[in-house]
Amino acid sequence: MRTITCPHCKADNPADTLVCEDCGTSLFSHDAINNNQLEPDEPAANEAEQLLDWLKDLEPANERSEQVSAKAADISEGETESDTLADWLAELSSQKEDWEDVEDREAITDWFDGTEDIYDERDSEPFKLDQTAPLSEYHEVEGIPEQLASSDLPDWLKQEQPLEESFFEEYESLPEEPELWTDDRVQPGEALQSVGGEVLPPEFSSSEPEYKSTSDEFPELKDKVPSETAEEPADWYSELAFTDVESALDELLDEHGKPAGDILSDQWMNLVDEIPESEDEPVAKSSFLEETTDLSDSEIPDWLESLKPEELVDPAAVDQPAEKSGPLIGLKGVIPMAAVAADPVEMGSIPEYTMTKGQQQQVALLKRLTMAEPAVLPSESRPAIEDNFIAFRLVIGLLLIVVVIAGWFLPSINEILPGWVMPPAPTYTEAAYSALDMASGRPVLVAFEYTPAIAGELDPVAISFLQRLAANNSTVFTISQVAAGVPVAGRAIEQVEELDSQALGYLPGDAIGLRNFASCIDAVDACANVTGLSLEEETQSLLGQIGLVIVLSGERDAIVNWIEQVGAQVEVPMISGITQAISPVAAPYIASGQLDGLVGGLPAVAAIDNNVEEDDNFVEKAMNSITLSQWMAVIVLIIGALFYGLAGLAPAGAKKQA
Amino acid sequence: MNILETLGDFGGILVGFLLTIAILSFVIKDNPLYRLAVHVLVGVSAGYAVVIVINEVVLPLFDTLSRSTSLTARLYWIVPLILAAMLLLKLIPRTAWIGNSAMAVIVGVGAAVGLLGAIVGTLLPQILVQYDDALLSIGIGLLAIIALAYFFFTARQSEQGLAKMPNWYPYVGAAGRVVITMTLAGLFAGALNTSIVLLVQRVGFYMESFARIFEVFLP
Amino acid sequence: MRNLRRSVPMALAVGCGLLTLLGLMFIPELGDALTTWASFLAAMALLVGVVNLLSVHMRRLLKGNAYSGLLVISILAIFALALTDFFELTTGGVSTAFGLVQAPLEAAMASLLVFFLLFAGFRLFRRQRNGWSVLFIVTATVILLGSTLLPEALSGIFGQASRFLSDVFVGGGMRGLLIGISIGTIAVALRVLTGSARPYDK
Repeated sequence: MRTITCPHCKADNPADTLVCEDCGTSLFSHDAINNNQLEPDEPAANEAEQLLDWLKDLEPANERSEQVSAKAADISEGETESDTLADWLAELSSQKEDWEDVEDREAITDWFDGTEDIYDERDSEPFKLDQTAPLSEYHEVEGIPEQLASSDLPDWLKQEQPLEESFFEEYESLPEEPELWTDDRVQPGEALQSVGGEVLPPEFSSSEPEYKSTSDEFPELKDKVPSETAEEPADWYSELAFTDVESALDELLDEHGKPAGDILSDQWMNLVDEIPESEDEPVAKSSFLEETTDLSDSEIPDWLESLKPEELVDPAAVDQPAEKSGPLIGLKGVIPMAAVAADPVEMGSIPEYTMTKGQQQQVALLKRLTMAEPAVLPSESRPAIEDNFIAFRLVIGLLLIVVVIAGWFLPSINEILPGWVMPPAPTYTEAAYSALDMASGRPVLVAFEYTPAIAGELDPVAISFLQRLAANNSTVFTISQVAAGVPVAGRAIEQVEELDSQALGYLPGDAIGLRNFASCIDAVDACANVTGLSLEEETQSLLGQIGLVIVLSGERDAIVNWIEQVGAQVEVPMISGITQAISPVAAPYIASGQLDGLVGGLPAVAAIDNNVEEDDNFVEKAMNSITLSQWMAVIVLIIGALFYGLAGLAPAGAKKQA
Repeated sequence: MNILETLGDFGGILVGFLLTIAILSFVIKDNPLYRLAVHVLVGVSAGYAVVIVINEVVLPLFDTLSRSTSLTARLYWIVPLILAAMLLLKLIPRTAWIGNSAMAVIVGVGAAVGLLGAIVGTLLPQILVQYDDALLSIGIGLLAIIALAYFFFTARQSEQGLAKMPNWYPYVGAAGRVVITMTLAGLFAGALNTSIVLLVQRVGFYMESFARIFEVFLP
Repeated sequence: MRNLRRSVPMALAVGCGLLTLLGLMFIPELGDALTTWASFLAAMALLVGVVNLLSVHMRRLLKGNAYSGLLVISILAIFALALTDFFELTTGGVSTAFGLVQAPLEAAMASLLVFFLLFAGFRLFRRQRNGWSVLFIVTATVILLGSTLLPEALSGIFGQASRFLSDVFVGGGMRGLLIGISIGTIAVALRVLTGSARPYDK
């Protein structure tokens, strides 16, 4: 444990003690610190423990010690209960025996002792000033509430004579001008030396000036530290008229009577009166300033001058009447409020809120979106087939399959219904076959841009074209940008006899590949290869003589790419065999002349080309099934439109009846 | 018809038939059989595409390069081969960024080709199309403009802060919606016709096939 | 470094695009060269895509997905058949697999379309019951009837009506749509050629 040596009696004390245990000298003077060679010892655990240690030293050897330590523990734990604080004070007072045992220790004054009585008889609960009742109802002992003015009060509080007399008897011993501004002026020992007439402990004795001024304690700084610093308060402070404050307070008290509690009693006011007035004494120039520099008086800038308080600029302005009402009551020099601000605000009529038509529509739309439910309809009277969607799908699906099978086995509808006819083929279908005939004897490029998925509708078209080309002795080059189109082309070629064909294979790159390939068609210079595939010279020559390009596809992109990249680049006729699904897509290209002909699916082939000899039966049966399926599709659409269209009206009618 | 060949055909047709039934079972609802068939379809299609590309593009190129004696012809293919190698690095996540350059070449060339094709191949011809009948030309041209006007979504801000469409839009927009609706209806009818043909072809193919096979076994 | 990773592809895209434009309009050899290279790269991109598909599903297979296993087996089976065909161990193995598996599956998928188009047409008025649905159904019905077997009188009426609707309204609307699509294509191409759009930067 660290120790500190008393500078007076040279006794060793624990480092955490404030005063010497032997002589009572303060251990925290600068001499004490300088003279002591603090031996490094085990540091205390924490500051709280250090604090508790010196508290424990004051602990009497009685049962209160435990309470003190407990309370001290509470303090270390952060409790701030007033009774906790009071307890340690009480314990302190109980230590007077220990104090008396200390050599050269002067007894603590009565007022210090008297505090124990207060707390001995205190209530278990901490004192609470009853603020429900005005303090004027409290019994007063010379202006002090009873709770405070008990018989156990210290002498200076208990005395019969007015407070000011008893108190200021001692107070008169104090210097008239309490020097608050420098340490040099404060002499605690002198100030409180004879408080209560008792002799203070040595640490408070003026005979032991343990407190030294800064210049005395640090001689090396004496030259630098001004010996007489600004003793006087700043000008603005000293110039403040305390009397004004006093009169303001008087007025305040007069107006409202005695304030709550007689705390601000005459005695206390007299105490205020006793505060010496500061005199306007010039500030002593410091020797430090004189020695160091020759500083000329600084010029205060105008903007800073303007900030000078009005009271300093024009003291007369201070002599203004005090405010008699409002929150600034009793104060002088209050800047009047602008008249405009003081006038009551006249509220005009609140404008009526209107909604524009657009806003109303928006609100209606939002309501509909957030609150409306999808209009599902069906009424209780109708069978809810559609409620069970799986059953519905099964019924429709099976029905369609039955229709298809039935059409396959039924005889031709033309025979059953002789007056019924198919619509005639469009003109562009005939134009396609005409273009085929015009390319007779010349090489023809056929692009199989479809997969087996669409082969059901386009294979008949492809075979029809190939058969016509075979009949025309045209050499056919097949190509495909679809990987699965290569075998599809092979199969179609296999089904046509006596056809001179050559497969160019797979052409990658979609539009890029077609643009590259377009240079091989109808070109002056033959292209040697097609994306790495070397072409024989005969092939190169034939490609340069292409008389017709046929595009077979079920995809919009393929048709458009061929038209844009090949049809727009070469002066070669182009026809197309497409599905009925994309016939509307290709129709504008017919109108613009970019396509010379168009064949839309199996029905168009069946309508125009009777040259499908081998599969006549197949085509005839297929057309039977197709026709029956189309009728069924129309019936399903109409039934669905009627079912849901009329079902929506029924609930509304039922509601009306209700 | 040889029975062995017939059996072989029957086996093939039976496999196709079972796969077709698995796909058509989706009409009722999604089921494991359908998923199984779809995964087989995707796998076979992807594998077949790779085989076609290698057989039709890669191998012929290497064959051409190996046979070519011209240095120019070989140097001609160095750049695309280097770019192809960079493209293959896209398979590795850490080096995938290298393949972006090769993709950029494809995209850049494709954009240029598409730009020219769209202008020369579709935009100008469709704007300049003429019918034999002048009235028909004007009418169809107006319908085309009205159909495009339906997709006009530029509005001004009104005083109340709302979006205000031009005064002509409600009428022209409604007319455009009529044209668009009828166009889509025509596409719907065509798709329905095509799908009917496809179903009929599929059912008819299996009926004919089974009939042909049964003719062999059931005289 | 990150700037280089983004700027180099963009420079390549813009540069190659502009060179292609120049070549297609003025220098045919340049245009041919660039389009040949790009179409070759497109084929390689297809290979990369399939290999990526294979790797993704192999990872799923290792996690226990049976469907992915079936997909992987299908791809590898086609590869195996291609190898056997190449080494002449088999003849037409890939074509057989194509004919027995891929062709019927694709055809079946396409034939599913009719069922769902019928379901959608039946429930059209359930979704929205207004004049637009009526117009849609009426137009579709007229076009359908105009392409099927009907009594001669009705066939003439519906045939002419169908042709009128198809040639005038559907043709006019489709023309407008094609113009709009081409304008959109031009806009996208210009964005790529100016570097505003970078679809390759992923």
